[in-house]
Amino acid sequence: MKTAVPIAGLTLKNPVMTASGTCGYGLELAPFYDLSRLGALVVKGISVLPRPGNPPPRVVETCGGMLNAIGLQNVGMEAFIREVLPALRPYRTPLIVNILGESEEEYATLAETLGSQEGVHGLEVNVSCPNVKKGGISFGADPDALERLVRALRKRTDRPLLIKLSPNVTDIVDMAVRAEAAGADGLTLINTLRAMAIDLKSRRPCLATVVGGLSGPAIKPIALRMVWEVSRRVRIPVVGVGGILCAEDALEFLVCGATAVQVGTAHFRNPSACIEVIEGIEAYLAKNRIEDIQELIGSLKVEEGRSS
Amino acid sequence: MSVTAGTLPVAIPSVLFNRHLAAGNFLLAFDEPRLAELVRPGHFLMVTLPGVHDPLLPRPFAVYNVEGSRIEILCKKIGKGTALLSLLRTGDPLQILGPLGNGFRIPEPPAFCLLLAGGIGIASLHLLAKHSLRRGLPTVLLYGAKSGREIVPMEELESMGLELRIAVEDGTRGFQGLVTDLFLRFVKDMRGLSPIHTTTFVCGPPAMLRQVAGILKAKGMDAQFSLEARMACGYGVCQGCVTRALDPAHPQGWQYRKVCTEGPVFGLNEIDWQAIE
Repeated sequence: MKTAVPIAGLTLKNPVMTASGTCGYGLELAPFYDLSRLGALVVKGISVLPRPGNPPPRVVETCGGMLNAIGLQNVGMEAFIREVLPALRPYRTPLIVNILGESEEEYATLAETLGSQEGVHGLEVNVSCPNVKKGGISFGADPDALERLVRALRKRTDRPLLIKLSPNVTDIVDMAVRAEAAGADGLTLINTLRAMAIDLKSRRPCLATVVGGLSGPAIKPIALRMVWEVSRRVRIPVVGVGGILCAEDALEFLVCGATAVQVGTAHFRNPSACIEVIEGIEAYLAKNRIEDIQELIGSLKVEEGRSS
Repeated sequence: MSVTAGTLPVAIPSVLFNRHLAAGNFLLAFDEPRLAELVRPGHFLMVTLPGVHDPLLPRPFAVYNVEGSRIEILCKKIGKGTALLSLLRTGDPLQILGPLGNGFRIPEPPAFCLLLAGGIGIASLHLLAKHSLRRGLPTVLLYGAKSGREIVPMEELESMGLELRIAVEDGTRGFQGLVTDLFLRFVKDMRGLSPIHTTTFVCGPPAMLRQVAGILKAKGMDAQFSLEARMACGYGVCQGCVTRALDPAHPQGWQYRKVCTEGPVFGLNEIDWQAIE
């Protein structure tokens, strides 16, 4: 039984990664299982300088999901390299560092600096986090800006480059096609959806920033739709993310056209969520006598003329 | 007392009992020997209903009591999650992650422990009182609620020597007023007690914490506060539960610190009280 998948020049032993921003720097999961079991570890978004993040309240649960407005709190590039990276190197799983910037130059600095570190196997570019003013939303929402950014990053690093797309756009397929044309090795979709929640009693927004990002099972149908539309139009692999709680959810993304998946909000319910998904996928393959997981990828049966 | 690698498997114990203790307050008990051995006062647990996806996220609960291998958590019916927990029956499964958090630092004798609980804040102070009394430390609990009906009985602690003083807003029991008013009276009368030998522990709603902090500062007393925060994960990955902590080394004078892994217990002078709403 083969569970390995190729992503952007990397071979993952299985298609399950952590989603950026839901597993800290990865080390927080180490008390629960051996991180080497992951298909890949994607750590939280790193910026050039440390970011304090947003004031609380930063999270609120909504029906079938949650809103967050963490504000991309992180220790910054230098502290990450000095203090975090050495502890991550011993794990035998590709490490993908998510990067975020407020300008093309910042992204370029991050790609060049982090991309040249031993133990960083790939970069995922956050162009879509909706939480912070100027926090990347312009790149994620403007096709020309996105294409320019990816082209610039491609020149600065040879490491596999995944672009994490925002769902908060009119046409995500256009964004995907532009990123591919500019040299992206893969696409991660989707990031959170801009959303809000109200506390009627106080007539206040539940989040200090008013608007946050919606994640969890509530967004899975939207993520599946976007993976389906994008994966048919690009040749580079698509990494599906959005509301995966169990192996069945992950398998739906693969069938839909994703080559790999990321598990996000499920971490907050269960720190071992990724392992349960990996084991569930293996059980599914064994039960259905599927020799190679790649048989599943994009195997969705759609009758001619039935898709809009 | 931070957690170390390998000590945090997720447990799925079954409910031993679900007991009504006071208006809106119920006690959930389950057997978990590993946890019972690790738990210290001030630790908390993330509780999820296995297989239930609405609510999606676990809820944090302080450990209220440990009795042999039995763990007890005190819950107050507030929202959808706690309403579901209140319906649990003996034998129903629970998903438990923990113990989490840093916990209280209990002083060595000779010392005097002063505990201030507001409402469900009693949940994290009960086990602390048990430990301080066992250590032979004189322990006073000032315990406030809206009504006498909401006061959880403290007989076990009283039999161990706890001095209990109750304040309720509707005057149905003890002192009529807020626990902070009772506290003001108490500090006026405590001339005989040396503040140096007094350790104060506080848990309750933000407005109470602020007021108590003001009184303590005016009296030159120190204290340990157990903070409550909205959190998604409880073990440091979501970064949702931060509070502003003073940090003179930092250019802005403060830093966000995670209530789950860097707390929930913070010192009086660590907390940026301007940011507590």
